[in-house]
Amino acid sequence: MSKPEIIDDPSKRDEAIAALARALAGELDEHPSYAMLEQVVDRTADDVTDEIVRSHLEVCPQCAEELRDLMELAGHAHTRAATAGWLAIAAAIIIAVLAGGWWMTRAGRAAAPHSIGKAVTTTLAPTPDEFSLLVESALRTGRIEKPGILRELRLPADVLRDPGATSSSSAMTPSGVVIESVTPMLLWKAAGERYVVSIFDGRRRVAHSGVLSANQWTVSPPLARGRTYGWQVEVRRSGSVDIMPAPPAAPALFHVLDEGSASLLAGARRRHRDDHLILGVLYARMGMQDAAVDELRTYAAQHPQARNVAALADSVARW
Amino acid sequence: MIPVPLDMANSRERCDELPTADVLAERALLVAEDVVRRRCRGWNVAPHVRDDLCAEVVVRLLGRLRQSDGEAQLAPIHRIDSYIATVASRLVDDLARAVFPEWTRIKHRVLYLLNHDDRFRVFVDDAGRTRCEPASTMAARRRVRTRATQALADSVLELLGEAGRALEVDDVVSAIARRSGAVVTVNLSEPMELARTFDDPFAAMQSAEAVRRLWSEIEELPQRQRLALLLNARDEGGESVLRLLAATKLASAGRLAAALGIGEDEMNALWDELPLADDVIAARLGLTRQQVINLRKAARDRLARRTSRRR
Repeated sequence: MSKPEIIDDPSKRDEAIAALARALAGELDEHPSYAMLEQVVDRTADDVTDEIVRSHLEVCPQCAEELRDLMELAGHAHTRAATAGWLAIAAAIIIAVLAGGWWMTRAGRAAAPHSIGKAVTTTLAPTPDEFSLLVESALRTGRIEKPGILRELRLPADVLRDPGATSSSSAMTPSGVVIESVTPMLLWKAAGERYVVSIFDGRRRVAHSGVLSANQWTVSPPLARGRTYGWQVEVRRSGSVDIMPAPPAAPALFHVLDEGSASLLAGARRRHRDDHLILGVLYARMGMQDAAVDELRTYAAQHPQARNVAALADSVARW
Repeated sequence: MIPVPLDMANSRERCDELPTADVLAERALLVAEDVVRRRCRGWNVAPHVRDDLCAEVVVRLLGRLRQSDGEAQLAPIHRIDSYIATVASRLVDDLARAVFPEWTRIKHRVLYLLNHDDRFRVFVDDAGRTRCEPASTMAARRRVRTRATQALADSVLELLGEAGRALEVDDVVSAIARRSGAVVTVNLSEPMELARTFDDPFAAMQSAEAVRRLWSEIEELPQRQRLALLLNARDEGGESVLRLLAATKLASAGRLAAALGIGEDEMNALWDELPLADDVIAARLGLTRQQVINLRKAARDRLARRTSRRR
């Protein structure tokens, strides 16, 4: 029974720590094979394979998206990723409201014999669409839950070890948000003579700007939908090159709205072009915070009596 | 197939011995080039990117052979060409994921359809290419269920009908991708991110603070992955990382015991046994040795992705 002896010699300890780092080093493996994903979709994976795949999905958004896509294809749409979770919420609300309507209809029918002699209104109310139902839900609760995707996009900064370090992802736009465009314009604080922007999907660079003289760049080629991207700017000055955001700042991340959400949003705009309340709630559900606040505040300004909408806008702005 | 000694018990020195390593590398390059050329056709991949891919195949093959030092229980490679082709193919898959995510998604969809619908037959031809064709029997029973899959099935049947012969699955995927407007041809003229992908993410992590951060990530691993990693991991001299963690005071014995899910008494009894062989770990966890190895690989992969994201 020999507990290891403490290493007191500083140089030996450093050596041991370096050896530890090498021994415990992570090592990128291939992504799970298609066969493994298929087993998970078909629920034929053994528990170890299932654990390995699911554990990988937690750290690899691209594979998570691929599995989600396969699940949908296979008809297991209930396993949609969190980014589309609001759709499930909407569905639940719709079901709840429709079920409530069905129950009330039944109750009304059951009560009919007691209504003899009374005038019975048979005119059906217009069928509320799913967007209106989302709005009703938001107004009833007075708040909209912050979508989980925003937490994933707003990682905490590392502990500041160098008080002089000032680079921050807050000087970069977009950062920590969901965006609709697949060719967003990236803006950052002017800080040098030349810039090179790189966009990463996980660890892989998927786009880069070439050398720029302006502190903005419109992404090209278009980004894939439903993906989370990180971006950084190489700031070139005479004699020095810096990277924004620099540690300990959190990485600058944004998520491009997935295909389904984007088309739903387009449909909502067509059907409710001037309804800033519906659009505001929809944007909020999708994690598009700034657009949501703008729409809700526009609505509140147009309807001063709708104080609950102003409060809703404030609650979204506080996310 | 070349008659190379692929005894996984080879020592590191034996693997480095010439000409074995050279012969292997040469063979690996030949096979890898064939796979990469075939699978990347139509993708406009610059020659040096293809070279990088092939070189990575060689690195991985030799790395796999060298692993025998620490993991003598690794299953032997029985068919070297097949192993090399698989490694090359998976690297191409990773490249496709990186630059054509939509293509990859479509490929997975097509594979799912082909594997779940009896109207299709999938087979590997003599050259190792995965092909598909309409099934010859009309008694096919299994059908895909969703509307999206049905639409995909119609497209694939149409493509196969137009071709009048079996097609490579990759070609079917590219045709579907083109129909859907997905970008399947880009000019990969830069030294891709492949090299970046396989950088050692721990080059700058050899400090106490970095190891502490690493340790906190290890504590977040699923239990079986954590055990598969910690109980077996050792430094170059064979010393257990658990003992090193305690000796450097980066983690207390109590914290190590908690990470292993055991009491301190059991921990004390374990010190002399460390590091454990995979079959011992397998017996503790009620798994096979290969499952333990797979769990450890998954743990290391997850650590690499987690720690690189933080940096």
